[in-house]
Amino acid sequence: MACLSSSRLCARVQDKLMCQFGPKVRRQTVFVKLKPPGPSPLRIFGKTCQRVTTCGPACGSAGGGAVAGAARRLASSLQSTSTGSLPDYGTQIVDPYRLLEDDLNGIYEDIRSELERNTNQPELNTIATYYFDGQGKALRPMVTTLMARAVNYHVYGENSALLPTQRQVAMISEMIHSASLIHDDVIDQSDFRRGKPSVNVLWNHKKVAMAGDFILAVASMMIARLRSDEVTLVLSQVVTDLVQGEFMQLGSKETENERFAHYLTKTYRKTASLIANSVKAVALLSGADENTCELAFQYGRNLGLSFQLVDDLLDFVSSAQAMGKPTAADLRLGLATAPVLFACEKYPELNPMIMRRFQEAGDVEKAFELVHKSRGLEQTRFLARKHGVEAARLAAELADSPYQKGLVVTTDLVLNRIK
Amino acid sequence: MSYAMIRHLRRTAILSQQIRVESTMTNLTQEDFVFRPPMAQWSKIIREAEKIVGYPTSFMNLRWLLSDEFANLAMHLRKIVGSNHPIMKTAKTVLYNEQNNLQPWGLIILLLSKAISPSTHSIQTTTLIEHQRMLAELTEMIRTGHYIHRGLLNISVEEQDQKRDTSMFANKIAILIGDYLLVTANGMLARLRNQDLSYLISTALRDISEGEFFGPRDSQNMPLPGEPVNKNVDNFKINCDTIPLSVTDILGSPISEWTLRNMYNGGSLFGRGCEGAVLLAGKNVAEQKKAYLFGCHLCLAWQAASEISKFSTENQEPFSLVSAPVLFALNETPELYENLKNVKTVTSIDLNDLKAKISKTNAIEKTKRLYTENADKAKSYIEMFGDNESVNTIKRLINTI
Repeated sequence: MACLSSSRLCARVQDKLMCQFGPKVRRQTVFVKLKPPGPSPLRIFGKTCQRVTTCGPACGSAGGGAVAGAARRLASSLQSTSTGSLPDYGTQIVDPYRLLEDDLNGIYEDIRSELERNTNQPELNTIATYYFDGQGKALRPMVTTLMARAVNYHVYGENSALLPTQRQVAMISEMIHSASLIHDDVIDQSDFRRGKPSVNVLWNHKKVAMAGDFILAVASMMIARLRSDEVTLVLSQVVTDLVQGEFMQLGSKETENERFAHYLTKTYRKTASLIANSVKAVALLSGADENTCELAFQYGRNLGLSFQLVDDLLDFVSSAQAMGKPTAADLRLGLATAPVLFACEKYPELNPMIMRRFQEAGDVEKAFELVHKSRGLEQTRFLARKHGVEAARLAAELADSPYQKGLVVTTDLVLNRIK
Repeated sequence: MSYAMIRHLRRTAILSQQIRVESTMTNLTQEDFVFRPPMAQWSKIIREAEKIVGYPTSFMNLRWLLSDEFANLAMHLRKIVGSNHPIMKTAKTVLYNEQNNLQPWGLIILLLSKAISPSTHSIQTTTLIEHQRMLAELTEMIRTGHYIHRGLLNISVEEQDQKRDTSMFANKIAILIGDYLLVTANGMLARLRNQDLSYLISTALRDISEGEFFGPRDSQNMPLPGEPVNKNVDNFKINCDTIPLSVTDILGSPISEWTLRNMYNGGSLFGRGCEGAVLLAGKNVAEQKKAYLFGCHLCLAWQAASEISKFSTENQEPFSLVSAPVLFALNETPELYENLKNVKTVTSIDLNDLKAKISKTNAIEKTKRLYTENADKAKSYIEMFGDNESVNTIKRLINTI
């Protein structure tokens, strides 16, 4: 279990800290106030400190600072009180970002230096590295790394380490994601993403599109260097799905049933495919058997769908400031996402608006209002939760480890984020 | 694969009715893509070559038209037909390959594959040929996809709304189609299950996108020449490494600048395509390198030939400001550079005037020499692959002047 240095323990904890020193530690109880990884707080279980059951040999170094190697992160045994099914894991928490801190540290730097190494043009370097400043959620690298470690633990036990190839896949997943964002921004003409002016406001469309191509090219080089036919195939499927998802977004379907299926397929292609295939790739690299790889894939798929559904939900509820990008953005782009599609049941007047992609004056406002009046948001939340639960169920089939717990916690992180 | 269907598509495509207006804007991105060798025998040689390889490569570029994705788009394309967006011209160029107005990359790769293939027929050879065809096709696809991305329009905020919307939309389509081609090529590459090959082609992808950032550019990202400098030795040695192309001391020296620009623009990709064909055949690294150099020099030779033809007196087409004759002329007469530096758009330059001035210099002669050097190098490399019908056909295709 991650060793927590004293700086991360709240005052209440230090009073109650019962840490046993020595190599054969079985149980310790530490009260932990989770620190958020980034500017906005993670509302996981509210504000109070929570009880955590951890064990680990090196807790003695809690005062001494961070644990050095990755290997020491692995618990010699972990008493799990959780049944692995949501929502009952109140007795234990793992913060995946903290858990993977060493692994994720420097991921953005490494991506930037890989990009820099591959060009002699300073302007290209500037544009390409713009999106890798570490301000993003880093969800994809985190999930990829988490799954890598969880599967490694599952296959090889507690002395497994993160393979360099797996770390490359984490980097690749983030690069593919950013490249697709760059192209999307040109397509959607959006000016904001992640709280700063989007790339194409600063530079022109052509340069930006080329920078996106460049990032993909470098990612392809990295994929080829992994020297695995299967992984290359799996990851090439990602970019194909991304483009096909974009095409799907252009078209529209007539009937309501078709529309929802269309929306789910499109959502899979645009969001879930990347996560699903990245975690499958790290499972492949781990040498896991087919079932485990498929399990990883399904976990990623469900997590991705859940993530996107929450994203679509947040577009209707959060304010512009919290998100870093303007809301009702989907409506303004003419996209009918889950809340709208659900709201159609109660308010069929949304149907013609969907067909004309909210182009007429007042459409966006009216649709926004109708969605809030209907049960659309609730139904979306329910569907997101359903996928989250499924992902957690799948994760529970892996061998018990802090990482496996982290996978379960991630499904909840995804559901409860405010940004 | 229905070639009849493609012919039908060509005849009935909406584009054929609509494209009449050839504005200077749409001519912009045609530069290094269109290739019209003046040889009368050209089409005949191409057809003979296609018989040798048993594959009608003229259609290689067009299979994506039959895809579902494109069918989806066809509806939307109606909105941009009639606009002056560069993608319309690109589409026309790609569709109407009747006069073989594109450098026949796929064909050369297949001829090369044929030249090195063993005479025995076995399962392995059939698979190999299949793979080499896929490689030829994906190389063409990458070229087209990249070219389409270069056909984006930079839209300024001052442009009025209606025009702006159409341009934005057309940009969107251009990005999508380009992306579609690039990812399809990527998928084909993955299915070849050869990571060395994947790596090579990926480096070519990197080079080709890097090229858009080299040297001064106008507001539409069209290339502008570098300020002429005087260098004692002006040449560009192509090495076979996969590291990014070196840019030190290049701008302003005509041969170096021209070679580097065209290495970015296609040389690297075509070279790696040729190298890939040899790699797939299981040849050693030395052979692969020869194939790479062959491809690069051939691409350069064809490019030089194409630029020379633009300067013939009958030819009224616009030429690129970074084509060899311009660069050579600037180096000879640096005063000419005054008009060209920091231009906002290349369309503001009086090309006829510039052409006349260039004709007074030795630029055309030097360009012809550039062609000959590259053509000779290409020939010498291809001869290393044996003396057979395929190699001889390639040599005939090299002699475009």
